[in-house]
Amino acid sequence: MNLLLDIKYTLRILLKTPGFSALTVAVMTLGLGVSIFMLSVANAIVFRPLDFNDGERLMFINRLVDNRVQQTLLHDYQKIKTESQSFELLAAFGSETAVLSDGVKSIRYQGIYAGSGFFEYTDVAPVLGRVLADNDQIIGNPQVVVIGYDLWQNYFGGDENIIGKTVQINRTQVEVIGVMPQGYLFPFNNQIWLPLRKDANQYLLKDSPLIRLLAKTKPGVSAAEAELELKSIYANSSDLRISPQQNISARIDLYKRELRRDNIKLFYLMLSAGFFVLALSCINVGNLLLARANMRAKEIAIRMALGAPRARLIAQMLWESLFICSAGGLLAILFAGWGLDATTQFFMSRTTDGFPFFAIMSLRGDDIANAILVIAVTALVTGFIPAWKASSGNFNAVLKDAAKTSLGKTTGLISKILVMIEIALSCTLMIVAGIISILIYHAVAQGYGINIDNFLTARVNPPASVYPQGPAQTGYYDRLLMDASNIPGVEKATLISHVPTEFLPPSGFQPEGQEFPNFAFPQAHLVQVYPNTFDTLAIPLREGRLLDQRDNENSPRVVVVSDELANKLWPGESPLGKRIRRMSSTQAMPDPWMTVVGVVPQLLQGSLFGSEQAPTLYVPFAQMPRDAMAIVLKTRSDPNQFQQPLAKVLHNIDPNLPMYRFATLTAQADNNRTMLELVERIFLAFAVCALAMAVTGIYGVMANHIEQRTQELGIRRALGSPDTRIVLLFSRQSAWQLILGFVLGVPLAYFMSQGFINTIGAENQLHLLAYVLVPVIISAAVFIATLIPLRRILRMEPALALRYE
Amino acid sequence: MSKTLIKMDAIKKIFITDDMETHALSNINLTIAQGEYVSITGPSGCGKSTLLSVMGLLDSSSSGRYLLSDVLVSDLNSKERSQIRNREIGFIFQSFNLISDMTVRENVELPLTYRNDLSRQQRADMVDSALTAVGMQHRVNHYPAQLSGGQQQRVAIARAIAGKPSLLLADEPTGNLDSKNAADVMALLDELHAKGATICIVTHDPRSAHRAHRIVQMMDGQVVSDISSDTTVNNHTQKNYAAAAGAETNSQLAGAL
Repeated sequence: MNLLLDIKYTLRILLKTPGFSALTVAVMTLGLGVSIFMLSVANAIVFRPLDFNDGERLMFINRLVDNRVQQTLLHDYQKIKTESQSFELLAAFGSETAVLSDGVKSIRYQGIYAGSGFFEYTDVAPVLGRVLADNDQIIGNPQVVVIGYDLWQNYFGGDENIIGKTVQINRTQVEVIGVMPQGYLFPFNNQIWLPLRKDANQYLLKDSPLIRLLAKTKPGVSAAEAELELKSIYANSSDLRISPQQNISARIDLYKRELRRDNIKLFYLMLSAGFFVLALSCINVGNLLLARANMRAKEIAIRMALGAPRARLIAQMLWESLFICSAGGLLAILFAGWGLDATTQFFMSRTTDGFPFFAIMSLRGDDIANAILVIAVTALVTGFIPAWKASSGNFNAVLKDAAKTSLGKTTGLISKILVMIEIALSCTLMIVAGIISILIYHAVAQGYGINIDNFLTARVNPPASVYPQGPAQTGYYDRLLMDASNIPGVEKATLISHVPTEFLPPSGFQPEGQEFPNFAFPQAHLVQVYPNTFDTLAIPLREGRLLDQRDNENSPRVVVVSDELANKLWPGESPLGKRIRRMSSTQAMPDPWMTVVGVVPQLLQGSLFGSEQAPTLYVPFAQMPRDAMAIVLKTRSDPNQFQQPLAKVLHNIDPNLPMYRFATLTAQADNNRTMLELVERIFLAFAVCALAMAVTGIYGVMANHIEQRTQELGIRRALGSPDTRIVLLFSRQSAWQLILGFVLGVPLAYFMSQGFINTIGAENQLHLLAYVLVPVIISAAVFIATLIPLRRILRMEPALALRYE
Repeated sequence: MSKTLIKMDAIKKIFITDDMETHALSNINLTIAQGEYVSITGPSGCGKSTLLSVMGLLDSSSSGRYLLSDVLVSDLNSKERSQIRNREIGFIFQSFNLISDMTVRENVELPLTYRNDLSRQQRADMVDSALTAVGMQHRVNHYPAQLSGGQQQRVAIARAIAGKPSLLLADEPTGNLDSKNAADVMALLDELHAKGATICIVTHDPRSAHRAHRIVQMMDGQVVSDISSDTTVNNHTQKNYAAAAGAETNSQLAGAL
């Protein structure tokens, strides 16, 4: 009942001061909104277990070779399955193109070749038929497929009798045995699941198929315990080493965490930044509540005189912060929900490869539970210091009006400390945001090294069963190139294994005469090109010659390297005539040597930054053929208009062979920098919030502080102090707070930004500007925040200031 | 013989500032029986308000023993002191000290809400009874700002007596009132005393002081006289006090000139 009285009184006070209430609620909405949003984003993309039964036990295993992540081998699966005691379930799967065709229309899907246990891992029942069984994994048994709900609806028109019917996948008749429920797209965005049908015993280790490895831990077994066991298994398994020098091991974590391992640091950085904004909100509101508690000192003293226990007083004052934070939190949850939808839309509009089903961002039950926890902690943090301080003053003195400053002095000190922390946090956040923005701007501005306007690209993957490497495949590609070149409006056309905007994992290469222990060969992107590729993409020649028609399967093997690779492998020397070959620990025999015949500028391949960035080398397709290639059209007008004509050309050549990943190079470039742009936008928003909160917070404290000293200023001026001395007095105090804030904030910013700088790389020192600009901006803001309230007092007649209460 | 309510032995209160010690109370020995009406008087800065604060557990003594209702309260912790203030003592301040954001009813009810042994109905009855006693039951939903000074002090008195404390402490209760309202408030205190309340009042006003049945005179932190209504001197000499009072009068005159 007494609780209700306290609540009623608190509400009355809040309603009586609508300006104060609205301001504090707005500040908390901002801080809580940002942190709840960031927490939910990180949860959705990285930290939350998969949404399946026992999600917290669903793991992903990666193979480590010489501490670098490599795809697991079928032999790894077999070994772990035989020796490990940590897992309830292990399942292997692979991913390959699956072209679904009915003779008229062909659609290319990324098919999942699922091994035994795959569907048990997610434990989701089909809506029709059954999932893959162990029997389906036996070679020789009828070919079967499980399809996704959308595929069933869109391709088969939701045919209720689909089970048992046969469809053509990769030109093979396959029986549909099951339809998965709507939304089931595991593991990425998939709609077709075929049996893996691979047995490690059929392969030598060097030919072991690359797979992905899922594991479900036994109840009570942690990821760390499982990883320890895996490490032990690998340490004792020389039969898993392709070469004896290999140092092999394994890493295991929750499915999403392991998949996004490279981004975890970035998410921690963004989470920290989000909580910095929240801390700034807490400081601002805490300071306002402190000032308010100071004003309510007499009321609190009366309550204490009447016998209010201190705990009750603190609890009563905490109601105020609880209401403010709850109102702010409610708005923040709505704001975060909207932000998550907008972010998902942003990703979806920018992605050319589809958005992983498990990373769809929306406010979930656990996000709201997290939000409530954050709100409760925030209310406590924000309200406790003012409540504790207000209830610890000399209430007898306050009652007598004799020592108004007994509370004010220490309150003032707390305010100053809070302002100093505010400066430090703002400084850190703004410097980190500045560094990130400068680096991302620089990376984006640098581009891919060529003009990527007016290019359309699409991939095609003629199956080896129909178009084996040799005349059949060459014939197909030659005709495709010729027909595509003849599309009206197409200026040029070419084929390339990976366009510059397309991601490509680097491989190891050995320059002749140079040894690298433990297979630590220099990494480079290997790109297969057609003779006219350099001309079509307008890649200029720096030295030697470009690849052309004379470089065929019968001529000596040649390669064109980028200037970056040349400088890396043969610094200070001409690379022409040097020899290089591909080397990999998974290869039993190295590739033949290739002679460098030309040098071109370095282009970016895929990501704008990151550990996968490497120099490039180009080899003739004729000398190193591969199945899948990208066709590139240089168009005279909007390349999007050429999608239909290009698809028609392909269909005319082979109606069963679909093209996929249609995109302009500019769209792919946009897609590549989606994450970067999101990070940049988030940090810029954080920086603006930080600056706004620092300025308003400091202004509030300074205005309050200066107002409290109005009489003192009146006395000083009455005694003849010039205004400049008074300005200097307060400026000096602000300067001290600034200096102490910077001493804390700048090193923290350096520490926080290092991880990002290491990830993105900093080729120049432009980002160091942030260390200069941010302190200048904050200093200017703080001095303005000091001068505005001071100017008001200085305009007052000294006599008025002397009588000021 | 009435039961002893307050017993102070050798109470001292020393305020320590940067480089100075101020002896606000020096060796105070004072006993007040239940039902007594005591006024504490003396010149400004003599320590009378400090004595009242120590007596009301608003402040602690630097040394000495203080027994309230036979309980040694000088050594109690903050929580226990709060409890005694809440249940045993009612305060009436010069500046009323009502909470401006609370209605008359809420102000009077406030100390009762800090007790866990009262139901909502019991609290309401006690508030009504207290407000009736001071003649303010018709203004229960008003806020302090809507009341005159005299009315505010009546509400403050209602708040002080609502919990039926064993001791009422009043610090210059008429200091902010005009003569009519002052007389009304003093009449109210007389009435409360007549009903058995133990009252201790600090006042500058001789008329108010003389309404009490016992007058304690203070000077420089010491009790210099303790006179009951039959003018019997309990302690110390009147001579000292007279000399000191004379000195203050002379000093005031000198200041005025």
